[in-house]
Amino acid sequence: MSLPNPVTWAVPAFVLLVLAEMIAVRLGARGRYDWRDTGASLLMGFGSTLAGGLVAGAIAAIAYALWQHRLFDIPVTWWTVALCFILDDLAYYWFHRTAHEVRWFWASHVIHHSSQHYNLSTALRQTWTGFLSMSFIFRLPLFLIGFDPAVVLFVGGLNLIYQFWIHTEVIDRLPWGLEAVLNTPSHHRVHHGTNPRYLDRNYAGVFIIWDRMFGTFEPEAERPRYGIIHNLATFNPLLIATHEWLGIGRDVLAARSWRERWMSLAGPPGWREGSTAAAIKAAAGVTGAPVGPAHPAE
Amino acid sequence: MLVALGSLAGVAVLVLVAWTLGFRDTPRLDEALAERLAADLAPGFRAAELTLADNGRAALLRGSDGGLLLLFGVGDGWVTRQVPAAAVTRQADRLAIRLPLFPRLELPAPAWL
Repeated sequence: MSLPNPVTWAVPAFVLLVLAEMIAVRLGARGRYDWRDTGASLLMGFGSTLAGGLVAGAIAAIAYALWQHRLFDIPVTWWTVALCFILDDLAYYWFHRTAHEVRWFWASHVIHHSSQHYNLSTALRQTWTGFLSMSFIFRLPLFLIGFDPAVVLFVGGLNLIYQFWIHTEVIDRLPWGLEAVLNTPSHHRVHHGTNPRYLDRNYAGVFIIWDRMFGTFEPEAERPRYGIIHNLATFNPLLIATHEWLGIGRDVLAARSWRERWMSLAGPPGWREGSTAAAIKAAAGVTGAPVGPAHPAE
Repeated sequence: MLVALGSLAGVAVLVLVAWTLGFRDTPRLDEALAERLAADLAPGFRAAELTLADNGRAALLRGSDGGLLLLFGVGDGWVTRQVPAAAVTRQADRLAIRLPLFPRLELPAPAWL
């Protein structure tokens, strides 16, 4: 079967919402923009779309090849699509967590975190090398379970669209208990923060319940400082896209043992220079204790 | 091809709007700001000495523990790097600093280094 790519249809809304947020910030709403940073973010988004187009055929081929060996024949109905959306979001949680905890995956994902700003244009700052790091493998179980690849890719697009609007400082907190269930601007600001207590927290895509379940939830308690531990000194899209890969290459070449080589590739980001999230939290006296289901919901 | 060109045009329009709306700060450092930013961005660092770039967009600071910290302007923000002594070379009254994935910088050479 064939389903539309919802992201393509959402692009005009993305553009209008970025414009609206810029004007709101100019009029005094909370937030920051910088024309160079915005340009870099948008060019990263443009390049990501091109890169995605180049590998879309290969990913679809892998998806359909696996689907031929599916465990169940799952019909396409409203409830199977809804179930697929939820399970895809769970797969996204584990992709995202791995992308922060394993340098090979971080090398692609770091691009999204490389802005010191947090606004709707930051949402569009996306990787060019997701295929290289094989981030698609986290969705493969869905094809093996038996969800139609077209449905999986469709709900993946919806997930991506949802995550656009939470990249803003304009919205404080959501009403009606939504903060307990959904990933919101407040929860995701924490995720983009480099404050020690915010490192490696709030990996959710749509449903924040995964972080509450797996002990990675952190509420927004202090103003986040956005970016990465070693912020980039450039707006050059090519360097933004490749800087962590270059760092991996440099560290692997400088490694003096196989363990060092392995950890340079698959250890936590910052392992070589001792600036992992765990080390930073320890130095700052942040316990890093899991905040799971027992944590009171907002 | 047409879609790609349209997307690039959209990028250009949004960047132009951002510039037109005034999101184009390029702050300059003075000694007080450099010390405050260093303490803020590099927790635990206490500046003892510093030298400012001629254009106010960078500073090299020496901490009370002797460590060197570079403060560098990127857009309307700042980045910091710890600087190993080997990355700094002195040529007459100028310092050149070379770090991986970082622009080559020149600053006035201070008496303290």
